[in-house]
Amino acid sequence: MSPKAAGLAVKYGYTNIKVFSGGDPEWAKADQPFVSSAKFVKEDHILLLDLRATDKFAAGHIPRALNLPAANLDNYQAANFPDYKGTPIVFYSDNMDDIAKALELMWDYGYTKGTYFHGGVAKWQKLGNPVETGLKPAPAKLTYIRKLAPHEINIPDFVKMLTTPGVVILDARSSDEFASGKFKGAINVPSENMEKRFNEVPKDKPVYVHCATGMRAEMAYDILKAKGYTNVKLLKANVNFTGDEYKITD
Amino acid sequence: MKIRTRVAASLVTLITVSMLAGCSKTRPLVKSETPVPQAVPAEATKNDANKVRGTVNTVVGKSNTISIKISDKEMMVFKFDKETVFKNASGYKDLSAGEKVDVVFKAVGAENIATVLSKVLAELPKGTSEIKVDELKALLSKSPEDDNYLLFDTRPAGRFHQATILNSLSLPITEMEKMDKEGKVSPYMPNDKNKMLIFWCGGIT
Repeated sequence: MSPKAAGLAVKYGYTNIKVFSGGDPEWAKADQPFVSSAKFVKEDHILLLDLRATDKFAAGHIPRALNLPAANLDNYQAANFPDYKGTPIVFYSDNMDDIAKALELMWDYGYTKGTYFHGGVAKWQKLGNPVETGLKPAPAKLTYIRKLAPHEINIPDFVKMLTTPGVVILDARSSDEFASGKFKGAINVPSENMEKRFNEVPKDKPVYVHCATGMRAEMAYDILKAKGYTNVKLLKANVNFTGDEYKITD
Repeated sequence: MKIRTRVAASLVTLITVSMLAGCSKTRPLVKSETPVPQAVPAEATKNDANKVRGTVNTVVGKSNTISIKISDKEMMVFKFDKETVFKNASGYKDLSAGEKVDVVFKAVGAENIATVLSKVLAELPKGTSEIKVDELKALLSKSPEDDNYLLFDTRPAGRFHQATILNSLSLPITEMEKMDKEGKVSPYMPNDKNKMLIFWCGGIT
């Protein structure tokens, strides 16, 4: 699409036109940061973290922000951040080095949606937005309640389905993984075989598809949806088996 | 800290939620490691009749699978293995969501095995040139005003708001084309025809 835009610019008579054709995937690969807009910070369902020192935070911060001074970042291990790795975490500060450090940490911990709000509180106010005062320290365990898409099922509901008669639990992992531990009564169609074996999935009962992380389940879901299935829901969560004992985490 | 971001919220009244062809909707799911140069064997594909082009959806190293979005409706999943030839990419870790790839595959039992996975390189219109990550990084160290450039994020506005490159203005290609059809030009287009204009989106289209 960017070459298309560049083509229009050529048409309008511009002479110095560049295309960064790698786009955001290339930018991410180069470990470069992404910025979120004020609109996103204001309106979206995010985890907003202010990296400045406590006194600056208390004097004025963006509403909804929690205070996690950069000096404390070292105390926050992966387990202290939300369980859901797709949590949109937005940082701001008046110190770019602190932001870079926090974003690096998010990558290391496997978070795919860490961004920052460029310009911090000063920019926020300049855009005419209100600030709040007072303390709101980040808890030792940060949480984020993910809003599910209509085709997703949450963990407690999925667990209920495991003992509900008349529903199908579909395991999209490999046959080896399935053989070494599975939900009782589950059927197994590995995601990579779904294209050819989708007929094994019933169309007339509610189907709940899972894998080990949610990723292959999503692949399987996408294929089934394309095949015209409307009775399938997806569990985007980590599922671990020890024999047939299971543990499901966000 | 110097304030450089310009927020284009006023222009962007339409939030385009539909995915643009070729522009990625999701952040890359695979973070690349330092690419290891790897010899690409000569054509190992002569006997394979199956070839598709699509956009990478997800890559799962654990099960050596990659899912490719062929169209809005169609998704295909491929296995890759030691025999798979990667072109324009050092390996599966070098393929990210949103990138366009050509897949040559063979069916083995119920599985489709990718024999060649090649990243599609950009075809740029005449009169434009490619800018690399490092050049862009260098430009961003100066403000658009100081360095006489404009950077445009041509993805849907929703993607811009969530995560964009510093100093980018939101100019969804859908808006640009709509205006073009009406004989109008975006107010972001400068008077100075020699100003450097940089366009980017969600990867190669």
